[in-house]
Amino acid sequence: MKVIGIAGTAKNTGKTTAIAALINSITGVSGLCVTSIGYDGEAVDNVTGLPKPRLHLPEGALVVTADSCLPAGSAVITKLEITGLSTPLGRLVIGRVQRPGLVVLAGPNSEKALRTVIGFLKKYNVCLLLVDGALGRLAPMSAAAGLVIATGASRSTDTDKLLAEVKAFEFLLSLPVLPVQEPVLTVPSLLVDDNTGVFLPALAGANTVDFTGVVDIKPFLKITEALECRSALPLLLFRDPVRLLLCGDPEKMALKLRAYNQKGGLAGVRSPLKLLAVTVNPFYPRCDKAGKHYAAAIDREKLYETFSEGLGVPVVDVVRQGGERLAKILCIQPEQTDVN
Amino acid sequence: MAEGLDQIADALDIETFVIAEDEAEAIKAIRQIMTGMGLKDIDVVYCRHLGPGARIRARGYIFRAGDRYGWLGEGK
Amino acid sequence: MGVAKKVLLAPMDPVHDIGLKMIRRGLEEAGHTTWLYPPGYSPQEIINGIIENQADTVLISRTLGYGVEEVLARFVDLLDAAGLRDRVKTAVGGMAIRPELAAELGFDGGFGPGTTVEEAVAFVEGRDYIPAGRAGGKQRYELVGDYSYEFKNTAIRSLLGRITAQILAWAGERTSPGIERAYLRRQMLACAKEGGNCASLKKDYARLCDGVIRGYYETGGLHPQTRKLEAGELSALRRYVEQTKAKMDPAALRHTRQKPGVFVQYGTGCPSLDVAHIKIAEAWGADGVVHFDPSWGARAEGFMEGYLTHQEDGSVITPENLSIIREALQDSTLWQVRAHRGLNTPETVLLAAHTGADLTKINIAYGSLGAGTDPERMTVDGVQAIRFAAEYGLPFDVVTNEELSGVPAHKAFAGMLIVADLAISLGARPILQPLFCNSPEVMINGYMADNYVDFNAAKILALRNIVSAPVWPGAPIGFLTQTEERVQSSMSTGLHAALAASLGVEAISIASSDEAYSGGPIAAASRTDTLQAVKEAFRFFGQATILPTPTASKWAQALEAGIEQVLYSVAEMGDFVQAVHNGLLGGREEGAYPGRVGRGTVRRV
Repeated sequence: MKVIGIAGTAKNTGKTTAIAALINSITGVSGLCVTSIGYDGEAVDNVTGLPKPRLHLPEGALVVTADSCLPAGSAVITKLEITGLSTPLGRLVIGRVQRPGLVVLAGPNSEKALRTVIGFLKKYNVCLLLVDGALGRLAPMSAAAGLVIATGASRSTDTDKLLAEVKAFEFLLSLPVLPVQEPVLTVPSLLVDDNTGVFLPALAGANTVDFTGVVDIKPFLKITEALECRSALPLLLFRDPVRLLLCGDPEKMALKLRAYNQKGGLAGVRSPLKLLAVTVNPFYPRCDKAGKHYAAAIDREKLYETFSEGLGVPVVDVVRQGGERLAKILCIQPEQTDVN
Repeated sequence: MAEGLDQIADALDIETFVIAEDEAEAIKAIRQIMTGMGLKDIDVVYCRHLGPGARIRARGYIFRAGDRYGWLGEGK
Repeated sequence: MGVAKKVLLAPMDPVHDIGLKMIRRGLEEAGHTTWLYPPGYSPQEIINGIIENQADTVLISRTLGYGVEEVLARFVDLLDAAGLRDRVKTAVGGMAIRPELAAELGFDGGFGPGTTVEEAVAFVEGRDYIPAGRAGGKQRYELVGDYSYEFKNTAIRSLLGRITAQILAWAGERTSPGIERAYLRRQMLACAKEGGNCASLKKDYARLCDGVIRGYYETGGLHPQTRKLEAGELSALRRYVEQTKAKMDPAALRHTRQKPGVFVQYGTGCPSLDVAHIKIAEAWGADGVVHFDPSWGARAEGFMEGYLTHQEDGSVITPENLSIIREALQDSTLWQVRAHRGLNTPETVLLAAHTGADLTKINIAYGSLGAGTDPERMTVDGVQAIRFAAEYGLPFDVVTNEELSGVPAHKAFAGMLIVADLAISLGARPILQPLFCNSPEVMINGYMADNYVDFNAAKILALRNIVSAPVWPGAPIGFLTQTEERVQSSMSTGLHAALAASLGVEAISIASSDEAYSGGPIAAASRTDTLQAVKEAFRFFGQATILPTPTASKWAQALEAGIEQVLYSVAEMGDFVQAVHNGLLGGREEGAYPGRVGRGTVRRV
């Protein structure tokens, strides 16, 4: 089973648009399953009041969503199994689309819950699980094999700033998988400066600093500062790239790790998450003086070109290029389609 | 602007009871109604859903602070 | 309680943490350990706190604004990435927080405005939250409490004894087409139940009807303003009822007091719209509903049959109309069908009882003086209606709306007490229904020049001094104080409800905020206005009472004396019907005219 997460850098960066376009372009693919780590399906955005794309699923596709969401869409869905997981909208169930239509998704909301769901899906011959993100949330995506990042003007209207951020993501998501070198210093989640002190004395003897949780950039810099006076730099090992992305300042993190590598150090991850593509969206909701939201846009050409030139991974403007290109990049091909 | 709207001090409220499945459906209905009336700057001031539907108050702002108020009769 | 939880409460909102403080108190009372953080901690600091305290639950409060949800999402993300997400239960609460948003943000629970402390505690403890009202369904309001029906005023008791004896002796020798129809109806209902051929009974019934009603049985013609509901309409209505019932979770109106029950009136003309209004009123907390039939129904001999909709105010009484409304009611809703005037009062009580009504309404004096029914007919039928009410165990209120036409309260009350005493002697359970109103008598005498409290309070005090019986002011409370303006109208209803609560009465009937609007039917939204106002009034006063001025007890004494005087003159006359004609219970100069509908239809047996 291929598990692809589509995560946004912010709300309204085009996650759901990308997923919807993707689904539309791969209607022939069998074994499709869709879920969301948040909530998908409202016709109008919960916060901005702007129209939000809704997911239309073909017959036979599977969904993982909250019980109460099943009747909310226009698709007719048969319940296959009730998982033991729950959401604020009720128990998570696995269902099959009997009659195509719009679906409302409220799926697994944590990494472990997503892993559990993946386990459940094994018996249903799912070939492709698409996991829609929520806001800028990333943590559950650790359970995916590949990631599509959606970014755009909703995150920032400054194209260069946007690119810098995604470049940092690209770097962090491409860190190699490395084996530990003994002796190991295990560092659990470090979120505030104050907790760093206890680990500093132990750093000296370690050949691997193993970050098992999430490390905020500030304590992390304190640790690297302490390490840099050593002649032999230990291996910095992170559980997965998502935990790096959640450090609070991925750009600073990328910068620091690049520098660390240059000084002869090595940074890597225990388990990888591959960045498969980046989608760009020039639209963003803007507030007028009365506090009303409306849709505005930045220069579409410039956004696309800047990203295409600046990144190693493929870049897709989904609205313009449709879902086909994204499908191709993700190597999802309808079985029946002849590739001549 | 529909005739008479410029005499409204600032906003037009529509209060009613909407038979609806939930709050979201009621809000959607009232937004459609207000949009259909040509109102653009719409807010739902109050909505409470219980049992069969929702008691709702929707508001269409005609003028906000800083606008040019029709009722001042400028240029007449 | 199961295992004690360790709960961290963090107001991410810089200002509002009152909700969390209340929840904290609830959690501590339930034996859980809590930490309440000061406002404004960052997600990192809160997660650090969770780690340090080994908390297993975190409750965040935050008012939403653009960008705020990103912070909340980041909090959940960090919690997950820190490996805590699966052992720490999370919820977010605040204005505009809905379950959908909580799901989007990645929380386990989302609590919007109106969340109770109990709900939050249930979430922490991992229990399903069952609101008080929903636990086993909303409870039916217990209307007729423990009353002895004993008269404390012995002079009044003996006067009423004389009057009751006279009425019963007089009525015992008489009957009317209304009474005969009622007995036929009883046979028809039994026949229909047994699946027999009821045609001949129906024929006999039709012979006792008049005008349009007889026409209905003979030619199938309908009253010009009515039509039959089509099969499609009926099945759609039944479906609507079924779907709506599944969603019902009626609000609670009362705050800390046990009384009063709150009744609303319906009678849009159409059973479908009635059902819509009833379901709304139930959802907004009404304890009971009162069926209003059209005024022409009271002038006709007999009832039509079938599912009939009516284009004007008042919903036509037919066995089918009553039954479809009964089907629509929540089990917890009390249902009253009025039988207080007109030519069908015994049959109305009978039908009401057979359809499952909980209450009816009977008043011979009002029916004769304020509602146009011939006093002789009204008395004969009224006594039979009371007999049926006693037989079927249907309590009834004794309405005194003749005050509205100008009859002074003491005369209206004398009439009410006569009917109440008749009821007591026949084994029925009457409920006294004084009006809370700014009546013509009040206006002329300036009884409410200063406040609306004293005169209304005086009525209750007077009745309590006379007899131990349930009191149900109506109908509706605040009559003639409301205007067409919605806020004023709802406010007035709310305040009158607060007065009723303060006086400890059993029930009240309330109007909609359209009470004073006479240009058209009542709109559904106006129903919720006054229910909401009453709820707010109950909330405002709680156990606090409204203190009338000393004038109230003075007026109460005067009322009691006035009632006694009226009863004395009625008893002395020795002929109740004649007393009504003579204006002893309200005269022409007081706007009370003995009714003419049904005159000459009473015959001796």
